[in-house]
Amino acid sequence: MEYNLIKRLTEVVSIQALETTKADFLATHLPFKNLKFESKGLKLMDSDQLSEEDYFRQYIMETRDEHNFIIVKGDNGTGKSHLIRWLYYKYENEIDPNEEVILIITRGQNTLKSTLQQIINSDVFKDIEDTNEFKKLIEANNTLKEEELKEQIAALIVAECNVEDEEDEKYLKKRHKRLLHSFLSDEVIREHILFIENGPIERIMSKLVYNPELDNEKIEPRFYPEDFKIEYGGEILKKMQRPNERSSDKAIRMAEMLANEKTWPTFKSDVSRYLNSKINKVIQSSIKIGKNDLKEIFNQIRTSLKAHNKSLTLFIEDITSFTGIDRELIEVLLVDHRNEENSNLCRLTSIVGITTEYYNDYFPDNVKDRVTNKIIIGDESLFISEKDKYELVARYLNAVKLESKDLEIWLKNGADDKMLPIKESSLDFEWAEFKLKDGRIMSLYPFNKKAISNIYNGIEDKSPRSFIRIIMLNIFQDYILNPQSFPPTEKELSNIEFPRWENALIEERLRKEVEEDKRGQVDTILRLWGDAHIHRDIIDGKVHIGGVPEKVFNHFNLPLIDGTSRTKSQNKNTGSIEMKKTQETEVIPKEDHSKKLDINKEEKELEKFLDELDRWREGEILASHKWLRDELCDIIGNYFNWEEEMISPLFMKYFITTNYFHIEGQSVNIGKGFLMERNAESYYVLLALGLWRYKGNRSWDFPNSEEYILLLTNYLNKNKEKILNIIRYPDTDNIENWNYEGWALLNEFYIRMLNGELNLDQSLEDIYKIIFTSDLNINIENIYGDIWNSTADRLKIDRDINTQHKQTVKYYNLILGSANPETTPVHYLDVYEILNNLERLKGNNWIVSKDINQFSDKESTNNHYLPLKLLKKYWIGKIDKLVNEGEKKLDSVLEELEKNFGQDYNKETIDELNRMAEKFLTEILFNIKENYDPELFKPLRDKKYNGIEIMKLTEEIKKIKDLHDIHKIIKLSQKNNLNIDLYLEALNNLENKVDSVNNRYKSKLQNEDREEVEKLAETEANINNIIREMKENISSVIEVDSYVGG
Amino acid sequence: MQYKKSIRKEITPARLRALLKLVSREYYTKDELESLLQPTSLNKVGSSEFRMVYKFAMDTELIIEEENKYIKLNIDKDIVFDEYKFKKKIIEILLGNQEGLFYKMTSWALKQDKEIIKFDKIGDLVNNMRKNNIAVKDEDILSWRFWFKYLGYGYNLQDEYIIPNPFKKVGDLIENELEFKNKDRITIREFTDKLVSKAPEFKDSIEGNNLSYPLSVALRVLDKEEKIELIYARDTRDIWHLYNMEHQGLNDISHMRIRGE
Repeated sequence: MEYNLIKRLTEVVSIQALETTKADFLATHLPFKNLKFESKGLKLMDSDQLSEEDYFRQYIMETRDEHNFIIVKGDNGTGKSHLIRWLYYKYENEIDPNEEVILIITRGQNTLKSTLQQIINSDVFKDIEDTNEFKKLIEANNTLKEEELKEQIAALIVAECNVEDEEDEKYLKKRHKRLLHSFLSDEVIREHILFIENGPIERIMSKLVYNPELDNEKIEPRFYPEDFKIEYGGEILKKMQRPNERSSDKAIRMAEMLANEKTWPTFKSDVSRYLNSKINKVIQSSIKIGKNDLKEIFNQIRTSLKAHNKSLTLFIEDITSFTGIDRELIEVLLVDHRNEENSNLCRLTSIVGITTEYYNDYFPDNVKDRVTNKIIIGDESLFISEKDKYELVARYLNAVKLESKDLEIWLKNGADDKMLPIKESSLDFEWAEFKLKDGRIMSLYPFNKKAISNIYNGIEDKSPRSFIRIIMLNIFQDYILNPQSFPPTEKELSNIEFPRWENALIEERLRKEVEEDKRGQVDTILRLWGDAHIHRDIIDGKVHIGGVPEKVFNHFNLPLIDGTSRTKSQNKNTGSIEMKKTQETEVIPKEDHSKKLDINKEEKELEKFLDELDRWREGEILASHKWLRDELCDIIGNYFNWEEEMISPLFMKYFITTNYFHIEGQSVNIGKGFLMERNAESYYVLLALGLWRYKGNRSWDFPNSEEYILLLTNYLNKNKEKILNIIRYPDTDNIENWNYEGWALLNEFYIRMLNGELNLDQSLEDIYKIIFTSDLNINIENIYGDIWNSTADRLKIDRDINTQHKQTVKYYNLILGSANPETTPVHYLDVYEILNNLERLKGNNWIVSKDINQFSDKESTNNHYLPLKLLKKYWIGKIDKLVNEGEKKLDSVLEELEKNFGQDYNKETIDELNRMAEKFLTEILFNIKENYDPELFKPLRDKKYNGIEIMKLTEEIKKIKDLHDIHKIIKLSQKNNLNIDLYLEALNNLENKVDSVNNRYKSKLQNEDREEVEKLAETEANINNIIREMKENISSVIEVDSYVGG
Repeated sequence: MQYKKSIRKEITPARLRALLKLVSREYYTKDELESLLQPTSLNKVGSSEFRMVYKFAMDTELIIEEENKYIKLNIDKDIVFDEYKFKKKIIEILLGNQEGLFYKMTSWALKQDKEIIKFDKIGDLVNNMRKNNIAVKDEDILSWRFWFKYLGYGYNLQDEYIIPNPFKKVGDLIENELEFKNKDRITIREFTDKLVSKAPEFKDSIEGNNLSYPLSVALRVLDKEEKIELIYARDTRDIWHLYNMEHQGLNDISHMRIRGE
C-alpha cells in the first residue's frame, strides 16, 4: 500500500522531468475559470476574462484555419504548461489526425537537446528524408562527455572575444575585448570564476545536458555582474600576481578594471551584457546547429505537410526549452503561410508558454505586435475561491489513491469528468470530506478544508504548482511514510508559516497539558487543521476543540485536551456551548498573513512586535529591547515592597534601571545585573508587556490580561531574589562581607571626627544628629603635620564627600509612595536602623573591617561603591598615619613645656612666669618709658593660658597615649583644644624684649653720669633681679626656634 | 484598638514601624522622637508627617505617654520586630471592625472580578466603591493602597494599577494560622471555612462554590510557588470553581495539599 501510494504520488505529481500520463493529468485538472485575454499587440486593449473552455472555442477552434502565434504568459508555476497541455489534449481530441499534425513539446528535461529530440522523434519527421542531416547533428551531440562540453563552451566564449563584430561596440570597446580574451583564458579566472559550482559555465551547461540535481527551470544560462567578484588584495588578484606563475599583463589589467568599481562602476555589467549577447551563438556552436538550421528544417516540415494537405499545430510548454535558439524559433513561428512567398508552406498555429520575465526582458519588441493573442495567467486565474483550492487538492489526492489502471479505463471511456472514479475508502472520514458543485463528494484525507486553506496562506510561493508540491510531496508523502507521527510539527514544516494562536497563552497551556512527544503534533492539528484556538464546542452532539472534531484527535492518536469554554460569565465553568451545525459555509481563513490592509496602526505595531518576539524566541536578536526593559523596570519598581525587603527606595531608584536589566539576545551589550533569559517564561512576560502597550494601549484592558498578569506575577516571584540582590550587592558573585550601610556611616563619622565635631562621651543619638542633621561644613582646625594638612585640604574640595553625605541621608528616608527619593523635601528617617548600624560600628571601635580588601578590585563609579571609594581614598591605611603624626606633635609640645618650665613644672611655676611677664610689661617698661607692641604678648595676658589650663593640657596629652586610634583622633581634632603654640610664641617675644631692654640699659649705665645712674640704682637692681629671674625661666624658650604650630 | 476611620496617606507602614522601633529602643519624649525621626533641619518647608504617624500610633494605642512624658510601647516588642506579627496587629486595628472603612474597601477589592485590573485611575475605584455604598474619597484610596499592598492583599504593576492578589496574605495564613488535620488532603470547603473564620475580609470572596478572581489567582500563585498543590479529584462531589482562566487548565478544584514541609 505504502509502495503503491509513493509510486502513484511520483506518477501523478510531476517531479522535475517526469511527465504525468494523460489520464492522471485529466483526473487532476482543475479548470481555469478566469483567464485574462489580450487580443493583439503591445497595448493592453480589448482585454477580457475567459474560462479555458471559452477561450478554446473562440480563439483556437474558430480561427484554426488562420496563422496563429499565441502566447500563454504567466509567472513560474502559475500553470502555463498545464493550460497548454490541457489545450493540446482538447485539440487533439477534436481534430481529425488526417488533417493536421499536432505536436506538443513539453518542458521535459528543459534542455535544448531534449527539446530537439522531441521534435525529431515526433510524427512530423516521419516522411521527410532530407531531415536526416539534422537528426544526425542532434544525435551526434549525445556522444560528448560533460567535461568535454564544458571545455568546449569555455573555448567558444573565449573565441568569441576575438571575433570582430561592430555590434559588440555597444557593449564593450575593442581593446577591452582583447583584455577580456586574455582574462577568460587565464587559469586563475577559469578556476575561480568560469568553472566554479553554479558558475557561468555550469549554468550554460544546464541547458545542454540534463542534471537531475538541478531545478534548471530557475537557472538562466547567462553571466551576472556578481560573477566577477574581484577585489584589490583579494585571493584572485593575489594569485594572478604570484611571482612564478604570474598571469598575463592583459588579464591582470582586466581583473584590476573589474575590481576598480569607483573608476569603472558599470564595467562588470558591460562585460556581462557583452558575454550574454554571445550565449545563443555559443550554445548553437556547441550543439553544432547553425542559425538557419531551425528555419530550414521547419520549412522542410511545413512544405512536406502542405504537400500532404495537412496543417501543423505546435504546443510548446515553455520557450526556454529552446534556450540558445529561442530567437530563431520565434522567427520560425512568425512565418505566415498566407504571404505570397510562403505559399508552399502549410498553416502553422503555435501556442507557446512564456514567463512574464522572459516576455519583458528577452522577447523582441518588434515581434510583440505580431503575436496573434495572449492569455495571461495570474493568481486569480485558477483559485477564485477557497473551494478551488480544496478541489485541486482533492483531485490530486484522489488520483494518487486510485490505481493508474482505473484512470486509464476512465480515459478510454472518454474521460468525462462526471464519471471520474472516486476512491471510496477515503470517504470514511467525514471531517475530511469535500463536496463538489454537482454534489459528488471527494476526500481531502488526511487533510481537512481548514488545513488546505491554512497551508496555502502559510506558503510564500502561492503558485498552484508550488502549493501542490508542498501539499503532496512535503506533507502527504510524510503521511504515507510516517502515518504514526502525522501530522508533522511546525518545525518540520518550516516552509509553512503557521497561523498565530488566537491567544499566545494557549501554547503555555499545551505545555502543561500535553506530553512533549505529542505536543508538536497537537499544535499542528489545532493551528493548521483547526482555528488556532482551543475553544470547546459541541456541534451536533460532538466535541470539537478549536474547531477540530474529537475524531481527528483520536484518529491521529493524539490526546484530546479539555479546551476552554466560550462562556464569558465568570465562574460558570460548566464547559461547552451547544451549537447546531448550520448549512455548510465556506471556511474563509480568519487571518490571511499576506493581506492585512485594514488593520489599524496599533495592530500593525503589535503584529510587528509579535513577529520580532517569535523570532527572538527562536534565537534571533531583539531590537525592541529598550522599551521592554524600561517597562519591566517600571513594573518591578512598583511590584515589590521595598521597605519590607529592607531596601532603600533611593537604591531602588538607582538600580532598577535599564543599566541593570537585560534581555538575552538584546541588540546591545549585556552589562551587569539581571538577565532575562531566552525561555518560555520570559517570552510570556515580554508578550504581556507588548500586549499591554499595543493591545491595551498602555492598559491591562485587553483579552486575557488577567492571565498575562498571573504569568508576570509568577515570573517576578520566581526571580525575586535575583532582582533584589542587584540592589543589595553590586557584585552578586561576591556578596560576603559587603556592607554598604556600615561603610557609608563610617565615612560620615570619620569626616565629622576630623572636623572636630565629635567627642568621646557622645551618645549614638548625638552622633546620629551630628551626621544627619548638621550641615556638612568641613573646617578642620587642628593640624599636626603634612598628613593632616593634605587630608584636610583634599576633603574640603572633594565633591564626592558631599554627594556621599546626601546619599546617606536620602538612603534612610522613608518616602511616601512613588515620591522621588532624590528630590522629595520631606525627610522622615529610619532612625532605629541608623542607630543600630552606628552601634555596630561603635562595637568595632569604628574601625573598617579588613574584609573590605576583597572588594578592592571591584571599585566602580556607581552609587554602591561611593563609600568604599572614599574609605579607600581617605581612611583605610591612613588613620594610623594621622595618629602617628598627631602623637609626634604632642610629644614635641610636652618636650617644649618641659624645657620652658623644667621637668617638674606645675601650676604655680606657670602662673609665676605669667605674673612676672605682666610686671615687666606694665611696670618696668612704663618706668623706663619703653614702648612695645601689645599684640606680641597678648597670649601672656590671656587667662586661658593659666597654670591650671596648661597643666590640664599636659595631663590630656599624656592620657591620649592610652586611647585607641579613633579616640586619639577625636581628641586631637577637638575644636576647643588649647592652642599652646600661641602662648609659646608670646614667651619667645617676651624673651626678645627683655634682652633688648637689658642690653640697652647696660650700655646706658656705662656711659651716663653717676648722678643719673644712682637715681636709677634702685630701678636697676629691680630690673636686674627680674631679668635674671626671667632669663633663668625663659632662656630656653628664647633659644628654641619656633616650633611648628597651628 | 480598632480604627474605623480612613487614615492619612502620610502614615505609611514603614514610617509607623520606624516610630515603633525607635520607641522600643529607648525612652524618648515626643519632642525627642520628632527631632530624631523628622529633624527640622532636614525639613525646611515644615512637615507634619511625624505628628500624623505619632497621633495614629497613640490613637490606636500602639504607644502611650507615661507621666514623666516619656513614650513607651504599648504592645510587645516582638510585634514590632516580627513582620508577620506586626501585620497581624495592623490588620486587627484596620480591619478588626467590619464597619470600618478599611475593612469595607479591602473586602470589596477581594471579591472583584478581573475588571478591577483594568481600572487605571483612582477615580474608577472611588466610583465603583461608592456604587457599593462605600463612602470613600480619592485620599482614602491613596492611603488604603499602601496598606493593602503592605498587608499582602495585592500589589501594583504600573503606578496606578491595583492588582488584588492576596497570595502573600493567604500564604501567611496557611503557614501560620489555619490549622488543618491532614495537610495532604484538605477539602476546599475546609480551607474556605477556616480562611473566613480567621480572615473575614475574604467572606465575600466566596460565593457558593465559586472563588473570586483575587482569591483564585492567589491560590494559583501559591500552587505555582509549590507552597500548596491544588487538586481536582473527579470522584468528589464538592467541586469548587476557581475564577475561570481559560488557558491555565485547572479551573475546578476539590482539594489542596500543603507542600514543602
